[in-house]
Amino acid sequence: MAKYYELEPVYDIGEAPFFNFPRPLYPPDHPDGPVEDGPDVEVYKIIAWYFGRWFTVDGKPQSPTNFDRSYSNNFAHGKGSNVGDSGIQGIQRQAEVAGANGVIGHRTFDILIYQRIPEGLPNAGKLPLAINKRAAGLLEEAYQRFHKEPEDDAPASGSFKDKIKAHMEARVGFTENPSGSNFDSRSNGIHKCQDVTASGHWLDRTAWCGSWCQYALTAGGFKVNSNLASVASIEGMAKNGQYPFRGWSTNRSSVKMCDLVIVGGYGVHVEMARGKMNSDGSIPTWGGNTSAGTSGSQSNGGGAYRRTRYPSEIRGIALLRDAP
Amino acid sequence: MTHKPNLETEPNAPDWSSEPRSDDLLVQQLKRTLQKPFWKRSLSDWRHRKRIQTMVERLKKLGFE
Repeated sequence: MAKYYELEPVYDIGEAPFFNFPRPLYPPDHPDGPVEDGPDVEVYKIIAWYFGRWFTVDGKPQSPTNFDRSYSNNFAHGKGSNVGDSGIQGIQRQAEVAGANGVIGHRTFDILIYQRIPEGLPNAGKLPLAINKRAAGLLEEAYQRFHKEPEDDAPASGSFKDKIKAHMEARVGFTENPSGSNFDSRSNGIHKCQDVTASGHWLDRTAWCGSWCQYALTAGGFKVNSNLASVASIEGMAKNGQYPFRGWSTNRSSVKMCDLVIVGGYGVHVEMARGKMNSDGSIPTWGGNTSAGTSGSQSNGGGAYRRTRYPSEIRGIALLRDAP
Repeated sequence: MTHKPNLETEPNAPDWSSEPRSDDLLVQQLKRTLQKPFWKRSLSDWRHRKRIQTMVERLKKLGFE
């Protein structure tokens, strides 16, 4: 058999159309599921049918049919042991997607769009959406229906949120000095946030993610409360509706700028929301005592940075009152 | 902490499983202040001793140490 370097290169990759990703899909048995029915589900069923993974007999697609638009557990995880009915999870397993679980995100979407129909099936070697223009149209329809642009959450000039935003933005990039000390020598930095929260020096050199948020709230006109130094206390106060919070929510879409986002688990870490939830469910934040990226410590990283927290990182949101 | 990122939709999510809890760190640091020998205590440590104790007790009740 010829070695790979002896083979003639094939440069004809054919038509590789671009499609917008409409939304993530979660099966009903997933914590974030079920999802609303939509034309994108019908498209994925058509593609799975082309791939011999849905509505097949003896591994061959049955004659074209009308697929429903419901993202069911059967379609997500497959029904029975038959490969021809293994659905999205079967496609994920074959593509060796890590953590195949029937959830459709960007990775599985790209596989569905750019995977050619396997040998031995009708239309082998072709891209499903290149031969089915109706499905391509449905996908764009789904994108128009479900894709949400991030809403503009710009605070009014002079409002308390505007002041907090200016305060936080001016301190992005502040780090501990010396490293690992939970302290610095700035007049408006980490030491200052501890002093403001404590109304004294008794919180000096302590974990400062909560104090960082309290310092910003103080800049917006909120009263000082040393309990905000503790992440668990923030959660408890929010659940009781205690000042400066009006409540607690685990619904990420309810977040507004300056709400406090509890991240990583109970008592682990807290950051302040920079705006509303993104279309992928993540929340943009300002974080204190964290790292700039995902590589360093997230809850004791020693710096103040803009971050984006994914849905699985977020425990809940302490909703801030509408006025100081 | 049993955080498990969803690899499909969050391939870049950080791993929180080994992250320290801020409130554990806070309790440990405040306890250290309380345990200082009296000749090493600052004026602030003396003045706010009651507040530090109160916070340590509260966090202990919440399960941090």
